[in-house]
Amino acid sequence: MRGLLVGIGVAVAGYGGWLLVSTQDAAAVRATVLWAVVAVIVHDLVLAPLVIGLGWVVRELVRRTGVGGRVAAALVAALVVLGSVTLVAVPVLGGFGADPRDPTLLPRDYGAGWWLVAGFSVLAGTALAFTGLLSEERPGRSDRGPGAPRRRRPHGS
Amino acid sequence: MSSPGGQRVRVPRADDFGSRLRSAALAVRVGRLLGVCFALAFVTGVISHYAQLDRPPLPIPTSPAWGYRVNQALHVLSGTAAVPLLLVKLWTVYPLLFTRGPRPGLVPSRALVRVVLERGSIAVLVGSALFQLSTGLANVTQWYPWSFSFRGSHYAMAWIAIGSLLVHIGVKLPLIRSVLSRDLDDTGADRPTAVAPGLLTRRGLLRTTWLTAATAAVVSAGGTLSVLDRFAVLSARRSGGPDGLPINRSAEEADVVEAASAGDWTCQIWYGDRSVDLRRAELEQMTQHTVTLPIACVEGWSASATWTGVRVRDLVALTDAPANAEVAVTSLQRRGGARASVLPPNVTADDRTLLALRLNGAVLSLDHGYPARVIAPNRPGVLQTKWVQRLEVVR
Repeated sequence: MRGLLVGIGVAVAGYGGWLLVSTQDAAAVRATVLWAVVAVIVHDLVLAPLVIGLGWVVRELVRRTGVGGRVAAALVAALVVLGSVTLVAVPVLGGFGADPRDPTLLPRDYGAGWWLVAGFSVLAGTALAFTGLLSEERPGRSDRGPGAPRRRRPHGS
Repeated sequence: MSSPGGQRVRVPRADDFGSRLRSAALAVRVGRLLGVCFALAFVTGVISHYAQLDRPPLPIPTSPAWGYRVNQALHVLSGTAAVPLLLVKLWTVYPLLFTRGPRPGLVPSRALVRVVLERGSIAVLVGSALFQLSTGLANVTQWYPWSFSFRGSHYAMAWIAIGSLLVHIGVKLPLIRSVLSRDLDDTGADRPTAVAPGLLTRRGLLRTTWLTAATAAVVSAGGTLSVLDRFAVLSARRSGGPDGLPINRSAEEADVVEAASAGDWTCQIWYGDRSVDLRRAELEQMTQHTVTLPIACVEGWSASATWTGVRVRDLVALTDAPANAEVAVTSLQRRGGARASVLPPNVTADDRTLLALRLNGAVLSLDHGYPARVIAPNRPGVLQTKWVQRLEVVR
């Protein structure tokens, strides 16, 4: 099964590579590969460290203010939702590609849209956290009993 | 990360990452849905490419008329949902980037070769996945900050992404099976140092991830379906609404304003050496038909509209050509994409395939293809040729 998956995968990816070099000129192939390489670098060396930094700030904030676990969980969930959606919406929020000759492209008020998403993120994070779906009163409890795999009820407390 | 203060900055090690959320138990579960999203985006993308062929080996049926629309909606919704899933997936496995491999000796060991191959395949997978998602999102707003062909590279990279995904699943299969057979909170597959509780539980992070994927899909890509449009506050298009039907290329962008407004415009219909020229007034005097059909763009937006005009099969009949003819459509547009298309025999013969003169009861606007445009069921928008100059029966 593993060998089959790997074999088919190599063949399919190889077909993609052949498609790339056979349908585009060398400059376009280089630009394509460069885009993929830069995307990996931007993720691994810019975005991921930024998220780690943000995580550290949030943990420090929680530690110093002494807010409860559920407030902290609501904050984290809201940041995950809003941060990801903001990243997805970069072309829209930046108005990139907009053309005055085509008013049907990017027709909405995206600033207002972003604030709506921000409000929704906070509400949804709070709702999930305060119904006990994100954190526990006693974190790590289920790790204690060795070899006792069991489905915990997340809001059993 | 440990020891943030006081010490010299160094490259982190995998052991520096202590959160028990950075676990294979989460990576596998998020990866499972991510794999489903990639598979959906891949299949619908391949279907869309096939639908754009001039002469597909097997004809695409004209019913259901909404088939292509749903295909494109699935494509952009699954692709958009994949962004947060990929980000969370990469977050859970990020420490592995800093795992030390075996030391390279003079003679490469089997273990070293294995590590190099495995990491290489993951580099290809992550690179192609990030390529697909970033270029796809930019394409939705027609933003092309690159020098390659979006269509060509996005299509080729799709095969590379799905192929390297299969390799990745093959390599990780024992781990996937073992993790999925145990509880989410099981620590058997974790790094020994990954024990610190996070601000969320593992279930909490999973729930947050599902919520994020759903939110991203609806608010950013929901404009592709009218039922989701009102929630799609960050979508690049409207599915209908007060601004009417979206357009992909305006008459000005296509440089056809002068030719399309000319009073002496005629639609030429050719069959062999026979030809018929019809002015717009003459087209209006022919039997008019009204159909409600969606127009669905390859970029993912779609909207339904009511079209009125002459059946293409009636026009073809004027030249005594058979009703199930293949018809080449040419636009007044002189350059750029979408200036020509081919109607396969089953499309020409369909009663709903019109040379449309009116849209939602009003005369077609220049931007929607005045004086006349093609509208046919279950076709990519790029093939619904605007500013028609000529219909030629090819065979």
